[in-house]
Amino acid sequence: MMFEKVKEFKALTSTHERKTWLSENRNYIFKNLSILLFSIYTFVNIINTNLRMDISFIIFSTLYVFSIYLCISIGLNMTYKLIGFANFAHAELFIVGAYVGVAWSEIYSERSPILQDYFGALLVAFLLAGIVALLSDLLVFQPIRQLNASNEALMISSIGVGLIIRNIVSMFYGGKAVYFRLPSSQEIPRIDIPSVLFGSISGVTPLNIKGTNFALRYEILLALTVSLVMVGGLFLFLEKTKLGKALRSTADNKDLAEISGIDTLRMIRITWFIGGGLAGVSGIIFASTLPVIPFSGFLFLLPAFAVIVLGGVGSLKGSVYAAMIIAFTQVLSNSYLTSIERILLDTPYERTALVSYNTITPFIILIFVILFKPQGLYGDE
Amino acid sequence: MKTKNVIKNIHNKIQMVDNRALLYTFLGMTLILFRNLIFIPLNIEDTPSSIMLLLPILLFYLFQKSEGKEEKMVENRRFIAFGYFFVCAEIMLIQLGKAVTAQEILVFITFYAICGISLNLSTGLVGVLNFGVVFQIALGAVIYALLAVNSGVNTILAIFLSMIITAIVSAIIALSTLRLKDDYFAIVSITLGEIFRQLMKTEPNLRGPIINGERPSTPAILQIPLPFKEWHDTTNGLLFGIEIPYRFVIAAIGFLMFIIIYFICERLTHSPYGRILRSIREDDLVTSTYGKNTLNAKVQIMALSGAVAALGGVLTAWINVSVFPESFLPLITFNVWVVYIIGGRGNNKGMLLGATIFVVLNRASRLLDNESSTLFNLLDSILKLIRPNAPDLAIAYLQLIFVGLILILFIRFAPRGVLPERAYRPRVNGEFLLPPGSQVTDIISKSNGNLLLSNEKEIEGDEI
Repeated sequence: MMFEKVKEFKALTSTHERKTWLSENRNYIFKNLSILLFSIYTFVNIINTNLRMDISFIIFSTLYVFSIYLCISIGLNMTYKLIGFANFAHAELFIVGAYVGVAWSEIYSERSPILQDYFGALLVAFLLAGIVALLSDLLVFQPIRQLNASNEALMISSIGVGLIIRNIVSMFYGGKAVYFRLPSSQEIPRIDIPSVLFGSISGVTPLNIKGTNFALRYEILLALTVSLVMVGGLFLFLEKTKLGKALRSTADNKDLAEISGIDTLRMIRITWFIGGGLAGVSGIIFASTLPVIPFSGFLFLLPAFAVIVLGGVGSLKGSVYAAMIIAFTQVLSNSYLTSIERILLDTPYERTALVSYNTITPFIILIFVILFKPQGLYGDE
Repeated sequence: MKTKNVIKNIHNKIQMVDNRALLYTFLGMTLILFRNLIFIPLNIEDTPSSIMLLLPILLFYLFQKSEGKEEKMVENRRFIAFGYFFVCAEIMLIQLGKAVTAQEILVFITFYAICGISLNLSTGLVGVLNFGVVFQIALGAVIYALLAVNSGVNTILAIFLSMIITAIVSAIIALSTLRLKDDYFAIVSITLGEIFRQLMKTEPNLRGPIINGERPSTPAILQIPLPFKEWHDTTNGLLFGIEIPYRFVIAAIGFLMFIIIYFICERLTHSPYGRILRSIREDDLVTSTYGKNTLNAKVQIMALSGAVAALGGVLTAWINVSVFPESFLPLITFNVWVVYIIGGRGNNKGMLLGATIFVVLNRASRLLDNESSTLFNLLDSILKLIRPNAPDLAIAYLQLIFVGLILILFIRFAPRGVLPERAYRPRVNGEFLLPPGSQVTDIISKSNGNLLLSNEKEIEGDEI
């Protein structure tokens, strides 16, 4: 694409033609230039030894955050597109998944955890979160939809559903931070994740290769694999199977799908189940690395909205890219702010305060996207 | 002759109450009130706050003219019926539950009523999906606290400045984001609240004053100057021989604010401009084809709602005597939405009733917080049955589940709230265009928008 544009420009001979070409392609040039400048700036900053930004930290944390955002936002995006309202209760399905992990490690607390526990908890979290999503549709959203209520009514009732789910979970576990214990693995090298999101896990020695801490915690590898397999499976399901085709056509045009003999109500229920299940999976991914509190679901809701708005509502492909972009920006801002404060402002590591701004970065992206490109990256598709 | 008429009038009104049970409740409550006033030395702590709020309105209702105002009468009847039901509930609460005091309830009722009016302006009147109530409240509170504590500005001036600044910020946000879809505005506004809360946590400039060259390490502004505090301290709150706790003073100021805002908003709603606003809510496109600038109107109303919400913020600052980030959780927005949905969208009077119902019901769940309560023990044992090492049942979670349930049940079964918006029938040359009982949407569709959007006086129409 870019080379074609350059060729086009080179083919022009007169200055007048070149001027008109430039003014015609102003938007394109501006967009690409800004992306180029931003990437150069980022790259220089990462390489800059003064700032001492940890490359492996940035890469692996991005992958980890990406896998959470991917799972939670794909489900949200599907329900948003199909039913047409922003479901604020989606974050609580994430919490259901996370607490399934906690409950699992409690039930099998006698023996030391093995890897099968992770996949067992994953399966249960998928099913349970899917069922909760399905129940919330059957009991609350479907009757309200049948009243021909506006989106506003659905959104507010979804807030109510969210409050109920979150506080039922809190009733069982209280407000304290709890963990989903994974099998410890001395033989697998790990990296330290200092406060990617909320806290830090200490006592881990990174593997040192050529002066840089290149090491991968296997939780991150597991998280990435799980989320990619899940979302890849979803894509295959949507592309290849007949049911997936029916789902896509329902999302495109509900009335037309109904005329063609597709049971749209069933499609809506399948969407709720899959979307909820994916949120549950992201909860397990989160709980396997970081402590969980009942409120942490809400902290992921707005970044998930940022992802689907940036990717474009209804475009799953867009959500994948957007999850990557937002995860990278958040981790980078985290790393960058820590470095700046530590080195330029000469603050001791424990007292850095600027870092907490990294939770705002997805929100700022969200607001800028909504202001300047409300259809998102792939919204027109 | 005149007294005879008044008695006849009251008699007619009492006959209009269809539900006998409510009538008896009302009579019983009046008796209790008189007993409290006459036979027992008045203890303001034990007097239900709903009586204080609703009695003036009841008296106003009983002594107003009734000819030609049937629909308004129906609304007032509902208001009083529901109001007195909750007075009853509150008396029960005060006598049964030790944790509930009248001053607490009263303060929160005024706070939620003011915030409800703010939401009612932006969402109920022009139909902007405002999920940033807590953003506006927090902004108002922080600006007030910064001005009053850090800069030492006079309280009244600080209140006005915080109202103005919040209005300007709300207007700017509305101007830049209202072109978009409704959902997007909702997401942006909820996001702004979170951003502002995070800023309050981290930004040193949003903290208390510099002492010994250092900002305080805790993210809070403490020691907010309170109104009439000196008077209260010196006289011990003695007024007409009754000892008044300090929170009643705050509640009285809040209630005064509410009344002023209420009358301004009522004027606004029933003016030709208010008609334009409601037609924007019903159909944005139709209104703009009639040559009205819908974006401008929305921005103006968002500014007004910001100013009202800033007053709510000032009230929270007084209630907490400090401003700190954890008091501006998104939950506040949802609570205000519950007040708005219960009270009745688009009805200003409904906001006071909605706030009363919400706060009383919310406090009522505290009654459960009692070792001897069977329901509490039952729930606790169910919890322990499912998860043996579950923590003891905390009532705060039950309260929030309750809030969620109210929200869902109202949207499902009574989407127009307890006091639905009154139908507005335009009148031309003294004749109504539509039969009584018409819905607001009927008027918009049947009159083709023509009458509603006109600025001319003669078709202004009375409410009935």
